[in-house]
Amino acid sequence: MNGPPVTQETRVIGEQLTVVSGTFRISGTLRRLLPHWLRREPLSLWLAAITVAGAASLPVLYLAVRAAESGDSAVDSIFDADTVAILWRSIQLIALVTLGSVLIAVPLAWLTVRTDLPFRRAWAVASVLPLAIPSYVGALAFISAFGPKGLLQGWLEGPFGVERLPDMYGLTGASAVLILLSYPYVFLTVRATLWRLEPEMEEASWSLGRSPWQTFRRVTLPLLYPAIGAGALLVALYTLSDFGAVALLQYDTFTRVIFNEYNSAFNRTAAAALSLVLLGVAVSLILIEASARRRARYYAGANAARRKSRVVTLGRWRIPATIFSGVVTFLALAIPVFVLIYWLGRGINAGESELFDWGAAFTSVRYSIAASVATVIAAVPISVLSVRRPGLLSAGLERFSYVGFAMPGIAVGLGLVFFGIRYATGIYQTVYLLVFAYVVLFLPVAVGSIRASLMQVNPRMEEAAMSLGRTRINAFLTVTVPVIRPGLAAAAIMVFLLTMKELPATLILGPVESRTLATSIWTAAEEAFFARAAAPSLLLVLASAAPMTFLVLRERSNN
Amino acid sequence: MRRKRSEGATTDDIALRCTGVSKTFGTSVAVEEFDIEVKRGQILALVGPSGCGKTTVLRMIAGLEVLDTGRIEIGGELVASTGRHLGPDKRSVGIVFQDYALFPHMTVEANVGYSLGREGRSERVEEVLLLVGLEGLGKRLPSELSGGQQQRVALARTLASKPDVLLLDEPFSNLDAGLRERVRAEIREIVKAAGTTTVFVTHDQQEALFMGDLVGVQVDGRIEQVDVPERVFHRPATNFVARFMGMADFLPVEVVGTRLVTEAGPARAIPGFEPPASLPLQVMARPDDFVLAPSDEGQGVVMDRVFQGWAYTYEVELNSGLRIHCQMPHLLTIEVGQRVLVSLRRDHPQMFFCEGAATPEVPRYNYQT
Repeated sequence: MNGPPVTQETRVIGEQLTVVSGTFRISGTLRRLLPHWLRREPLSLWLAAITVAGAASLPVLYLAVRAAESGDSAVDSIFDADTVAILWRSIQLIALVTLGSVLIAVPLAWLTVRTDLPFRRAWAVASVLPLAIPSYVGALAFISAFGPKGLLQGWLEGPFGVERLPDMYGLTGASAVLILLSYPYVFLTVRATLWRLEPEMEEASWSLGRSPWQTFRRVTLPLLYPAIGAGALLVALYTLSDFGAVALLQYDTFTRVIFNEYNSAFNRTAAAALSLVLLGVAVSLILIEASARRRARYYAGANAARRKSRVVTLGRWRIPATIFSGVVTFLALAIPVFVLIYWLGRGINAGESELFDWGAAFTSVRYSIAASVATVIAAVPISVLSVRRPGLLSAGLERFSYVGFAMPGIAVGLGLVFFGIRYATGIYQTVYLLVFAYVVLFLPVAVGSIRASLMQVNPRMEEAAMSLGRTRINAFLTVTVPVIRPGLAAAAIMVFLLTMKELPATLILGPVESRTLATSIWTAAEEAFFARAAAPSLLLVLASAAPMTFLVLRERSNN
Repeated sequence: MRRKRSEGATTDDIALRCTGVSKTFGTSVAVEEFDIEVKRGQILALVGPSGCGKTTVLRMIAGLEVLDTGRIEIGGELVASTGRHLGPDKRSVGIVFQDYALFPHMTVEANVGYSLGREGRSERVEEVLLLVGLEGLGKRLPSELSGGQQQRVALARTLASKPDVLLLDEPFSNLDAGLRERVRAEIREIVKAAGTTTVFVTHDQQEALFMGDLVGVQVDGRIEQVDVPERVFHRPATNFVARFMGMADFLPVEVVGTRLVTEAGPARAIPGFEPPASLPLQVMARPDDFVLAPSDEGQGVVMDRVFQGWAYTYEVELNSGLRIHCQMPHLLTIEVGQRVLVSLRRDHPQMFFCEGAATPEVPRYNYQT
């Protein structure tokens, strides 16, 4: 048992708690010095939020510092011909994956929300589950299934004498795998909007003499654009930051090149410079989506539909629609799971001894618990301020907390490496810096979830509690926290799962001796040791699949 | 495209006729044996408590719900009956939803022109925007308009295609109380100017009385009474209609020879009134039908007094324990606890009820205007 480290981490978290509650007590004199508008919220809340936002921007800062210090050589590697080639490859991949995801997800979402597709609830769950498959596991399964000397070739060789399958490495394979793993982002956002659309919109169009198809094209689809855009942004950022799939499928995008520069070539200046370019691309994607959304600002404030929309009868399209849903689920879910089970079986039959690495599993769980607790605590001040005190400062702080959204794990990892080596050798290559990286990476997820649940809380409730004699903190803890508990729990679960799966930051920042599920799968996959990767992969997939199923089913019962 | 109304195809000028329309959702009956007729150009106000099925009726007329049994004819054409259902896009019916359902991604012009073909669209859009008084706002987005303006865009969008029947679902419920009275007058004017047959659904009696050429009172999925506003108010067919359309008290009546005696003194009937054989008989009295006079000999005690500016409404408990409501000018103030003499006004005949229905019987369906 790895007992002591757990208690050590818990103690650290305990100390953080004390620090946070301590800052709440800053009182009197200091506050009176502040301008009136700052005094309305406890100063400590602002301080906590500013600290978190500052910490979240540390990695970017140090990437920039590191690149600036190298001067010309950093500039050279940014404007290198290679960089242009990498950029072009990344853009191709992003475009293909985003387009493919939208083409799969929009029809699938519409079919599962609006039509009499048979088993549509089951399809809905099955269509989200690919999110539970980490990209390196997905890539591994596809290589094992369709790669040279893979399962498919093996089966075809006997009866048909097929010795070679079309090459699946490079752009083709990487985009196919990433489409199948990331289309659920678009699926989820489009579904959520379809549930919310007022049926009156479509009914108005029908009663104005338009056919159902004209109604879909001119009313429903335009109203879905913001959701498609938001989902597509998630897909694009996922693709840009993905390391596992592109590395295993040997397609040189930013993440793979950066990792090789850092890990094999030891060219840290180039790694830092490329990370900055990567960050620039991510920010551009976010800006493109934001400007598209600004044009579609009408969408803001749409509330839940009061009445259910009419179910569309598919008629003769029932069978093609079922086949479509089936093929997507088969490719994205059934094949990976089947391949993993196949290899697990082979490993057991071969009497393989190290099929499952319990130590790695424990380490993963410990890191993930620490990361989820720390992230949720860090997310609360920013969430509260951005909901309750909308203004320039709180909006700015919220933006800073979104650094992790734009920053691929590899860039956050590198930034913290530079920071650790220079200023924090004490925690460099310890779990603390690693957990810090997780917090930076997953803070946006936690802030998003907590913000959303805070928006549901009427601030008058807290005011009522205060008028009944409670202090502000007490009112928050006794009234607001119980109401937003589902949001806090959802945030903690999501951060936990994301940490379990996170690969590049763990590879770069993890303590030298430690192995997590993600890194041990990675090692096994790199050596094409499929049998050893199968058990931990299955465990990761199952662990992520359970809460996801729960979330999808709850979405249904809410409507 | 919308089916155009064929002129002169009908023998009468009934624009909308529902006959025996019923609709059940699961086990709950929403609409049962619903009958109505609306003449061309008339406004029918359908009023009833929430949950009485009036919105379902509207949605069946629009073709958004499929009826179980009955018939719906629009402009003489059968659009719905058991086993027959013409889709909403095939009916010459326009519906304005409670929250307008404007297309947020389209400008006002695009919204209003949505149902129109390319040819002559911009002229028609301009014409309709002028009709609803929104000329010059065509380039705006719905989100840039006030609630009242959005409502008029929704109306314009529906009127643009010249539907045979216009349906308005609780059109004023999203407006501020102050705005509401002005807007409903405007809407009535617009609809009348367009000459469109209109069915208008509301739960507000005042709105129904103001808007309707005809008022239909609906309860439990069926029409309780249809008539002109004045008669629905003053000559209700049933106890329910009397109470629903305004405050009403019912006093037991004793027939003494030819006299009709109540606890508040004699009641006056129309000439030739024959008390029915089956008793008990009741007389309906609205708050302005009573007169109060402070008197220690009186048969009632003032229990409550509500100040309404131009008048007081008193709640008076009679000796029998019955409570009645009486409106008196504010010139006279009577204190709570004061004994009063209560009597019925003598200057107009009262309505009598027996077993929940008016006696002599008032026809439930009266389309004479």
